[in-house]
Parts: sequence; C-alpha cells; structure tokens
Amino acid sequence: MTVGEWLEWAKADALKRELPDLMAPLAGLAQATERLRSADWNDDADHATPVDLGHGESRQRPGAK
Amino acid sequence: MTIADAAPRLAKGQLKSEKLTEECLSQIEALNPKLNAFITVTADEALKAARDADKDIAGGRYRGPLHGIPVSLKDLVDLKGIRTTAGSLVRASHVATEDADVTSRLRDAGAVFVGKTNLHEFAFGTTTEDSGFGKAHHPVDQSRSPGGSSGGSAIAIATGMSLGTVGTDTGGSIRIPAAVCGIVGLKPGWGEISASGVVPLSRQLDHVGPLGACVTDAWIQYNAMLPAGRQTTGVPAAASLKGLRLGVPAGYLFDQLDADVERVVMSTIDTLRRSGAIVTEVAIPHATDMAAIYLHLVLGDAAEYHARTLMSRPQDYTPNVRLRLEMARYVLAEDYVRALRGKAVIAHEVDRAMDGVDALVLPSLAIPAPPIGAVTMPVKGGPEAVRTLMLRCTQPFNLSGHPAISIPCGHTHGGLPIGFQLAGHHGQTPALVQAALAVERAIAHAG
Repeated sequence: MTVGEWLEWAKADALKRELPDLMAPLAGLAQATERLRSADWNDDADHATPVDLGHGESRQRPGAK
Repeated sequence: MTIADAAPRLAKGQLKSEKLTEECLSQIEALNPKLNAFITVTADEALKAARDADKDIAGGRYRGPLHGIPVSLKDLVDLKGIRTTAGSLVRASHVATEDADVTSRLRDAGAVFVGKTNLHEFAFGTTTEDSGFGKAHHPVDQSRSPGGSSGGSAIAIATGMSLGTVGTDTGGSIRIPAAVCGIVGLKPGWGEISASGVVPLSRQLDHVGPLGACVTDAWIQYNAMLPAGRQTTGVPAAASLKGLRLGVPAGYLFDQLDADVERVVMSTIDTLRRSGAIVTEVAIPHATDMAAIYLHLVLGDAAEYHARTLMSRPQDYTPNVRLRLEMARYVLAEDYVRALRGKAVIAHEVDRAMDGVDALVLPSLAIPAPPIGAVTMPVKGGPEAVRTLMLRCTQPFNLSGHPAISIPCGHTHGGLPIGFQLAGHHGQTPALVQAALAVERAIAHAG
C-alpha cells in the first residue's frame, strides 16, 4: 500500500467513524511516513541493523567485541 | 531550599522534616490554585511521615540524604492507597494498590510524599495543557506553558512545593519542563530505573528519573531510585573542565532555534571552551529522520495501550489527546517495523558521535516556554510546530537510550529560562552527572 493509498483509506475510515478532525493529523502522519519510507537505511534491509527493543546490540560501541 | 542544603541540617537535627514539609504544603496551598501543579495533595500522610522521619533521625536511625525530604510524584507513578490518574478522567478513580518500584525505593530512602503532580494527559504531549484536571501554568509567566509532560513536577521544584520529584521522559518529558522552568532534569539511561508501577506511554522509550533544583539534587534522587545493590554513598565529584571532551552535534539539532536560545547556548559552549573543555563537532547522519521514527513508535505503542479505553470511554479523554490516539490506530505494522529499524540506526549513530568525547552538548529544547495555546513558534528558518520544536533536541536520546540531563544556562531577554543539555555514554550516568556538575559550576561562575 502506498502512503497515498493509505491516507485515502484512513481518511475515509475516520469520516465513517465520525472523526472529521482527524483529517489534518492524518495528513501530517502521512508526511512522516513518507519520510520514514524514503530513509536510505531502508535500502539495506537485507543487512539491516538488528531491530533491538532492549538496546542490547546498539549499546555496542563501534569496534567493541 | 535544595535537598543538598536541607539534608545535612536534617541529619544534625538543626531542621525538622515536619517544618520543611509544612513549608512545602504552604507553598502548594498558596500557589496551586494559580499554577495547577498538583492533582492530589497528600498533606495528612506527608505530615505523619515527616514526624516519623524526625523521630527516626532523632533516634539515630538516619537513612541518608532523602530522609525527611518532601518529594512529589508525577501522577502516573503509583503511590499505594492514592489514585493514579495519569492526568486523565479515564483513570480518575483508579487507586494504586501498591507502590511503584521507584516509589518504594524513595520511601525506603525516607522521602516524604506530599502529592501527585499534574501532567499532559497520559504523558502524551509536551505542554501540560491537555490534562483532565486542567492545564498547568508556567511559574514565571502564567500565560505560558511549564513544558511537559512532567509540567507539574517542574513547577513543584521551581516554586518550592516539593524539594524533589519523580518524572518520566518518553521524548523529553523530564528535560523539557526542567529547561522551561529553569531547573535540572535527569533522564537516566534506558532501563536504569524500573518503570514498574508507572503508567506507560511507550515502554521502549519511557524513562523514569528525577527533577531537582540543582545537579546534586538530581543525583541524590537518582541514586535512591537505583536498585539497592547499585546505589552509592555521597555525591560524585565534579569533573575537571580542563580537557573534558565535548561533542557538538551540529546540523539538525541546531538548525531551528529561537534566537535567544541560540545566543545563550552558544555562549555557554564558549564559556566551557574558555574553561578548558575540548569542543569538537560531531555528526548524527540520520538526525533528520528521528522525528518520523519517534512518531511511529510512540503512536504504535500508545495505540496498543489505549485501544480498550478508546473504545469504551472516548469521551473521558481530552479532545487533543483523544485525537492523537485515534490517529495512532492507523499506523501500519510495516511502518512500525521500519521505525524499529530506524531506532537501532539512530542508537548506533549516537554511539558513534560519542566516540572520542565524554559528552554531547546541545540545547535542551529549541524554544523557551511557549504561550499556552500556541500552535507554532518563530525560529530560525521560519515558524515551526510547537510540539516538533519541543521534542527536537531531546528525542534522540529516547531513541538511543543514552543518559541525558538538562541544566539551566541562562534566560531570554524576557526572563524565561533556557536549558543546556548533556548526553553521556551508555551505562555511565555517574560520569554524565560529574560533567554536569562541572558545567553547572562554570555557568554559575560565568553568570
């Protein structure tokens, strides 16, 4: 789903739920999602930095063993 | 009065906890109607605890520098027998059956709890305007925000309503109000202080920590919040500024600053350089992605926590927070996972930026206290959303988990406080505090 498709769907759903005030926040979220998806670190997903909820791996300083 | 001033006098019997607690309660009585810093005041319990502390101290059972000290708790931290509202009518009748871990540790250290402080509802905001118990007001200018989400806690310290306080920080919620109100706020490293018994916003970004009138007060509280085996005695010595290696993360984190904030922060960095610190520029290459990463994580986590009550009691949320939570429900799983990866990237880059330096130094936030109701504020580069500006300089260290501290470094031309932030290495909060003690001293000397 592209961000544009997502935004259309989200706005329609919000209107169906009688939340018209969500239109502007959803548009703002869409901009942030575009930014997130276009980040260059997504290009290297095959060799991605490990997703690490506990900071364990990311605590390693460069060069640390 | 600071904890550092009061503690030795309490220990020697020159000052009674009951008197100190009465003074704090008097401040609350006088100022809370205007500032709305407290949601619940536990006066009777506090006075009893203070009298017990006086008896124990007189009987030779002194427990340490928090014994008999009046302390407040952000009202998402459980205090047994007292309601924990999280600043929301959703939890208006929720009474804690146990102390939070952090409460229990402070209680063991002899702290006297004077009450529960106001906050941005469920800690989901930076201004303490959206609270089910009314907005809080800045102690210097009541038309302005005290920052948030731990806004009530910062007011309490700035006005002497309590000498210590516990806050939480998911994107800056300890450091932002500390900077805005002219006090010290310490966000320890992620996971250092237990968050058990604390209402979450995002467990992977939430940090529990102290706010105080000075770095020493923050240290005394932080130390008491640690597990018993990790606590130390005494206050660490200030680091020597001569040779202290400070990294300035130039670029994004300095790009959109209020003119007064930029002037005062750059002047502080100059002061440190003249005092012998070695200041170098460092880079966080993906800093511009941090806001998007943070947003998707905090929204995803908050959506999960609030899903049930958003369905059953939507009318009990404040309108703005409800809207943000409703928006949160639209975050896609694939984008949440992208944000998790981005978080790891940022953590790695902050580590690399800290390679070869003792601490990073930067503004605590880009603007001084915003007017209540302001949507945007003018900064270098044009007007920008208040929420974005307030989180900009603090959220890197929530994503990365590094310890960070905000200390006051000056004022705007209009007299509003400005905060200076230091971030330290993982697992080295004591070293960060030592650096902050040195910087605090240099700022005082220069002022």
